[in-house]
Amino acid sequence: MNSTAQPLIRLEGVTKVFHADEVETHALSDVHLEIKPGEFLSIAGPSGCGKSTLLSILGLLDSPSQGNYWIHTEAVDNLSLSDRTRIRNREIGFVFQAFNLIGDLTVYENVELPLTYRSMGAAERKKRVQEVLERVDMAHRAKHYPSQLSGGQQQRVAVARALVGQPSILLADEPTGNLDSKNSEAVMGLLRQLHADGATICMVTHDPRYAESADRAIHLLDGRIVEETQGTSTASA
Amino acid sequence: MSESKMPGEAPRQASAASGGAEQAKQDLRGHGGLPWFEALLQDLRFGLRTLRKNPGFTTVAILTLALGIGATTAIFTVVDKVLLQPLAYREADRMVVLMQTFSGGQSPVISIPKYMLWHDQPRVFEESTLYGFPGTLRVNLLGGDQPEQFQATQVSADFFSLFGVRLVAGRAFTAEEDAAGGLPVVVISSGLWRSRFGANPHIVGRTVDVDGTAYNVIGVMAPLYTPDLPLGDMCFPLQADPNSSNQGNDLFGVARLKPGVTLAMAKAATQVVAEEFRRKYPAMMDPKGGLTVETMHEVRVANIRTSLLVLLGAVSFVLLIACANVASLMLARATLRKREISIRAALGAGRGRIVRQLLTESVLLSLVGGALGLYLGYFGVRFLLGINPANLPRIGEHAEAISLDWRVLVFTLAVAVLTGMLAGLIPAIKASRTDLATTINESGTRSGTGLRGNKTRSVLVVTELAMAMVLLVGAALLMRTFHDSLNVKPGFQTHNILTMGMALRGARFQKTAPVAEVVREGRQRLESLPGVEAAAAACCLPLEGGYGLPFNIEGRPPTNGPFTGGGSWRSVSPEYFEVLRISLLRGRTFTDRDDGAAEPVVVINEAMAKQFWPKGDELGARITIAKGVGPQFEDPPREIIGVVGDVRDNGLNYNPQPTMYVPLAQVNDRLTALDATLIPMQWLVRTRVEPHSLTNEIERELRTASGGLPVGTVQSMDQVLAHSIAGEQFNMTLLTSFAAIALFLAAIGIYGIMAYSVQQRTQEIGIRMTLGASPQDVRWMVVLQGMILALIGVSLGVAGGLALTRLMRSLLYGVKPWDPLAFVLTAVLLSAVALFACYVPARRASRVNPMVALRYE
Repeated sequence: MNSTAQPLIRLEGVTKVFHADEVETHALSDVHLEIKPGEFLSIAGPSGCGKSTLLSILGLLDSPSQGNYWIHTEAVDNLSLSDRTRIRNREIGFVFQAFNLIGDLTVYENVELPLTYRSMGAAERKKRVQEVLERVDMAHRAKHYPSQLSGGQQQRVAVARALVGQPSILLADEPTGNLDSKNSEAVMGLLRQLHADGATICMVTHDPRYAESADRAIHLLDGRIVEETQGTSTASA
Repeated sequence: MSESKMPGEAPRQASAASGGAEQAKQDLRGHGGLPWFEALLQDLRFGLRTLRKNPGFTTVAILTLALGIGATTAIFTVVDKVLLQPLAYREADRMVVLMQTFSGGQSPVISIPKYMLWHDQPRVFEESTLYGFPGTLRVNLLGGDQPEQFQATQVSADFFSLFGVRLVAGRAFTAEEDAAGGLPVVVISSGLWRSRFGANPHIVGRTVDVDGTAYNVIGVMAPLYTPDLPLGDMCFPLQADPNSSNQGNDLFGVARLKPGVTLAMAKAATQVVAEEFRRKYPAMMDPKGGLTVETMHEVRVANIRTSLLVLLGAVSFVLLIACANVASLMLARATLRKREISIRAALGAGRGRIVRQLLTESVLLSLVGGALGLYLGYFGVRFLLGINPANLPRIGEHAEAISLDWRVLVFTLAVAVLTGMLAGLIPAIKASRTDLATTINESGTRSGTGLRGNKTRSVLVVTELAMAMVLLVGAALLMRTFHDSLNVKPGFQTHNILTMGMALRGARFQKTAPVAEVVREGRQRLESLPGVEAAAAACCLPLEGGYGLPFNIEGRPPTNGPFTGGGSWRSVSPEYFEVLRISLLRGRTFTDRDDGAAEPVVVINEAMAKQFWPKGDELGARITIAKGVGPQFEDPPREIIGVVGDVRDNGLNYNPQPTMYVPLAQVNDRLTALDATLIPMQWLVRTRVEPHSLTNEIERELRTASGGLPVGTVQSMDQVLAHSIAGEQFNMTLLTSFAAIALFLAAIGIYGIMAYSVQQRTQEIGIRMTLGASPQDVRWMVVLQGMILALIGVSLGVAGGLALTRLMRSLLYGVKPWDPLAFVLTAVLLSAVALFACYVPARRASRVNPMVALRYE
């Protein structure tokens, strides 16, 4: 990781307010954050602290009420819906706690899905899907449906789907939340390996063990970053 | 040990001994469940509560079922009255009608000689009767303040007995009264007795002045109105001469079979009569024709059966579509109720019990829908038929015979229960197969499934669309038929013509000259009225049929039996062609000089000229009409003086036949008198203003011209035209209505499945959007899935349409059952509606907020 490089992601003074039944909820307040290319960042904090909201804003699934957001050098906080969709498709890969694979699609089709929204040729799609499935060691299950896989296998497929578009950053929302310890360790091992290969990862986690795997961990409380620590991965590096 | 008791056993025994109901319940529970009645009540209570809790679902399901059941009830009331119910005659199932057959068809009108040979078969027939067209005869009742025109029928003496017509006073005709030259007697209707004679109890024995003759009233018919027997207000004895040589086919011969005699036996016996008739009158029977019998019921309904059965088929499709829609709704709801059903099953409810619970709900829905449908259907069809009776037999002039009787109620109840079972069975069976463990422990992390997970609903929607397509094609074909009918040129101009009938009967009008004089006088009076352009008289109106007579062409050998040909025959006054604006193609039409003293002349139509004088040399040729048909028809040779354009005299959907027009003033006296016993003479008045606005003035002038005679059946020619296509309009209106309902239901069906699919796939859509799917991608995905179903449905519908529309062939005119335009347009329409029905949920899908969707459970 190059600490002097241009940040891949930059948030400045990001605030997110939800209005419901005349009640104002400040999910995020004045968040400043930079993520450098190749960095592994973990976001931790208690329930309701704003972790998922922050991840949604980072993933362009939601927009801030105030503040600015850049990916590379492009301001993305005021883009149209279609531009946000395009950037999300090309720059961001998602891994969810609940895997969120589509039950009607095979492993291969699930992984191929992001590429189908890019008008990419079939041959290129096939090549990329096979590569990424081999990378997560799921190529032998390409024709299976999600319901035929274990939780750990499903999450590996979800990681493959997140990677197939060669995004700039991988956003992982509690990727081990639905897994037993053995599968959790396997998935974290996969993320560490990806990070070692140069991937930029931003992961929300409750688990302090996995938070410490990151280069840097930020702690949220009541929508604010209250602490920032360096993880073991940096220490070991 | 034997005396020891299990805890609680003693009180149980005591309770059973006292016959406690609670104990009985417990016992029955112990033997497999609640007593059925209690269980049913429980199911009903729970079903009602469930339906009340879901007003949206309940309302949509009830309205859908009401539309399906209502449409079915509507058609059933008509089919039941017209096709299914026995005729309201005494022992109607044994009544047969003598029919003459000819190449290309058969007809129930026969002549006196045919009847005379046929009816006297004591081993086959119990009794028989001969009578004229019911109610078409018009007579003038004189003697009051104003002469009035009434409908009447001429019947032979056995008529009342055979048809079971009851008399409230007096008696029926005797054989002597019915004999040729018999005394003038009349049996009047109960209505006339009350309205004209104040229900005078001494009416029998009184004389009434009918057409200038004193008729003795000998009986009063019971106030039993039935459209099966529209006799009018007076019945006169037919007084047919059994030795008559009149071969005019203008009467009905009906007999009751002896018990044990079958229709086949009667047909065989009639075949023998036909051969005897052919030997006796070789010139009077079509070489390819003969005689046969048909049941009275068949004769009454044969012409209408196809269209009613097509409508019944169409309405069955509507009902099935409604069933499919409700089944689809219930499948969706069963998915939402999986947890409840699983809990019931976990607590011990067997599959049968769960199926029964769900069926109870669907039957409840259909019963409420059925009640609403009964109301909609019954009053809908009464309203529709009230406006347009569609020339349907047996329903009365304003559909008053269509009634809400027990048959309709039972039918609707049965349809409602069956519909409820049909709509509820598949969802109930599927719901009862729920995997308990999976459902109860189901978490929200599973992603939704697309149409692959909704196979049953997809099949239902495809079926709905296919059936809707068939209905739409049928409706389109009938619309094209009706449109083509309206665009058919009748051969004359219908606008601004008022028509009315006048019965020129009685001693005054036994000869042609006085009739011609009334016509001349009437015409002069009418043409002097402001607003009247021209006036004419004729034996009959265009579009309403007329007489058919054979003819011989002078100098040519006969080619059709003893005749050269045959065609329509019409007696008309000189201005007939001018009033109707029938085009003159060659020669001239009639003038006042073509009277009884002048050379006999005839004008023919183009169809006759083309068929018999293809070289166009018809002018100057001479024809003899109805030679040898009977003394009433004896006619001198006539010179063809003109050729006029073709008129569709038998209706818009019938090609013009060869037609002979003869001057009314040149018709022989006996034919004029015969004509007056069949139908009234028709006046046709062309006006410069709205024709009905001159009705009073025209009636007044005609009354003066005729010496006080009234007119009846006043209608404009546009009304005559509308009446002639009322059947087509009725079929088209109903089938189009059913197709519109089907289209609406199919649209709701595909909308429902797509909306449900979108709801189920919210999470999946969220994932797709997270992964880069744009709103357009999502819209396209949903629309594509819906349209795949739609196109499968449309394709199956096209195939079904090609197979089924052939059954409608007899209802179509100017359009083939496989008309490409009808198929293409309806396919496009259905696809467009399906596209819209898919687009609405697709649009909703594209607005899914990925964040919300990903949290969606």
